[in-house]
Amino acid sequence: MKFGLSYEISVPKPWTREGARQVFEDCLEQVRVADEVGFETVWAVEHHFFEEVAHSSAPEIFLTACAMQTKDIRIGTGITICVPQFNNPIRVAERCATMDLLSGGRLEWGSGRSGTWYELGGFSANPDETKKTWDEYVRMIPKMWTQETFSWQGRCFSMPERPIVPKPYQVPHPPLWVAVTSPGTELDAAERGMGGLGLSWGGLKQHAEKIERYKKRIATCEPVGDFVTNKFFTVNYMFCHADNDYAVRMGEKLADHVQYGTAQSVSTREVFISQAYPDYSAALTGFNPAAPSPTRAFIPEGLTVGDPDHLIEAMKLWEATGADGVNFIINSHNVVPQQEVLDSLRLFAREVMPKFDPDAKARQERELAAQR
Amino acid sequence: MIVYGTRDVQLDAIGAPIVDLEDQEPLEIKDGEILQVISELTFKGFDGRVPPALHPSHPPFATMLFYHAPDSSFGPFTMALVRVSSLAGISRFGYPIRGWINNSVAREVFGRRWGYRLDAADVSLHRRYDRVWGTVRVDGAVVLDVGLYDPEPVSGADANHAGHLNVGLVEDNGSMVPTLVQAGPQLAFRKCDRGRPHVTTFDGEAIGCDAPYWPVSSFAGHCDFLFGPVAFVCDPTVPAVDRGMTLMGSLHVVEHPQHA
Repeated sequence: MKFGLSYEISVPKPWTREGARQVFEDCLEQVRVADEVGFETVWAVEHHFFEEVAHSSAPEIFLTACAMQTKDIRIGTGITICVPQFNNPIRVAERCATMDLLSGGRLEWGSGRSGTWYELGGFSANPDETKKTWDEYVRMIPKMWTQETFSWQGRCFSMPERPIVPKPYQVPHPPLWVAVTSPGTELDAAERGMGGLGLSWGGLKQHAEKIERYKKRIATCEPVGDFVTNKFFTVNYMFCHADNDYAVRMGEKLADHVQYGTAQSVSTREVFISQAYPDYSAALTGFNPAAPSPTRAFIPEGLTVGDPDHLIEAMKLWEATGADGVNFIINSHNVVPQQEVLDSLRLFAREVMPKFDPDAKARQERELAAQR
Repeated sequence: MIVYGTRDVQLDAIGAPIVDLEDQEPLEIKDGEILQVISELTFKGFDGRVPPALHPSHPPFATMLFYHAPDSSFGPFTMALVRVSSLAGISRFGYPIRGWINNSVAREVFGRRWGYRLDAADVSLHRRYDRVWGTVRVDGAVVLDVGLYDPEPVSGADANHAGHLNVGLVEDNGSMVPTLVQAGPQLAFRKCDRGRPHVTTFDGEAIGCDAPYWPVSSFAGHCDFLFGPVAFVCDPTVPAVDRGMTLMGSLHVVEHPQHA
């Protein structure tokens, strides 16, 4: 299994110029440490208007800053909203190719469509159209990256022949991913030969079923890019501390803040009547209190907060679902002090990561040798 | 920072119905009709609209609802409700602003069983092939007129209809205590249409709320209604997290009625 970080960049009130800046600086410091200790990828969401919860409205810029301060860790848009009112597809291809060049070929391109009325309404986008526009984007973007010149006559976007530059550093192009939240999107990912970025929780059993469907379908996919990314990652909260009780308290606080903040934004399904947005409320809340961890009755199954032994136990459960990796949310609303976030990353990398990711151990050893 | 409502629930307790949690006979209405129109409120217009037990939503919105019963044990009636968006933990509910009904017996029953505070008014729901609309007239003046244009068929399963958290007075150790009472019908659709929403009249002064300004969605349908027993009651002044529930688990909130 591989491990990554997922950033929403939460800036709690009261807002000050320095406070907001410090949050971004703290995130960058965390990414530098994550790079040193062997995390594979840093992902940044694209959210808009999510005050306090997610100020990552310009993920490409944040991720470029991450790339400039690190050596190995990959950078992933998690995700780019593939809706014309949000992002012109030419600009997506240009920006991402530039990120790939500047990072020396470390870009993972995640795609999606937004799930909230708060965002879609704010950009005057039609929720009925977003699956269709996403589908068109993921077929266009790889061609924009690989063809000398590009033209398109489509449903949501058309353009005459032009050379789209720059081209990405990676050949033929960066890996392609899609956020999997709505039921069935795992099949959308698989059919197109794209990696699946699980951004909802839904419980272990649901995840295992989802991943099984994904793995089965991708075997006969028609890839939209020049190669298949056959990986399915999930997301989780993570706080690792030698004192298990303290870690649990802190982890619960972290999870509560994220869950609440996410829920506060009005989902598309809640106010807009469209089959394009099925009911996935259960998936969003899915740590199942009725199925607690075998060892801690009040911690939902699979929640990765605790001491290293408990995290190893939780990660084994996720490994058993068939997940290829987990991306961690490690702070929100500054509920975890920065030093403890950094210590948590280091402890996880030292005690937990090597049990699941042999490459991480090798990266850590290289890093230590370089420091010596 | 978790944001809670700031409304003094005593404002809504004045004239609130006395809810009898022992009288919970379900009410089933066959072949009813429903109209729902959702429109965004300004953040300022929403300020102070929900009590501390609830959280505001982003963006805030108002839901205008019409329930029409062609027949019931109290005869036919049409009810209209104006609700504002809110969350209890992470569960969504409409919090009442104003309600009207055109049947005095039904008015008393809805208040007593489920805490609906309803004023007598001329309430009507109209359906044409090109539009559906509902109107509330008080003393001959239209205070609410909302609806949809150009209905197109959708699945009733796609029509989102949040439950209600009414403010009722519930007996507790000899006192009548303002209480949030969860109510709201289950809907079994026979037909459902969505359409272009419109808010033609919203008399903010009469309704007691700034007019919503950004229509979002609407649906109208034929359905059976089932008003079942109150699912839970809670103290409007205490946030869900302070009732011993973490927000993380709060979708699963099914609090035991205080008086069960």
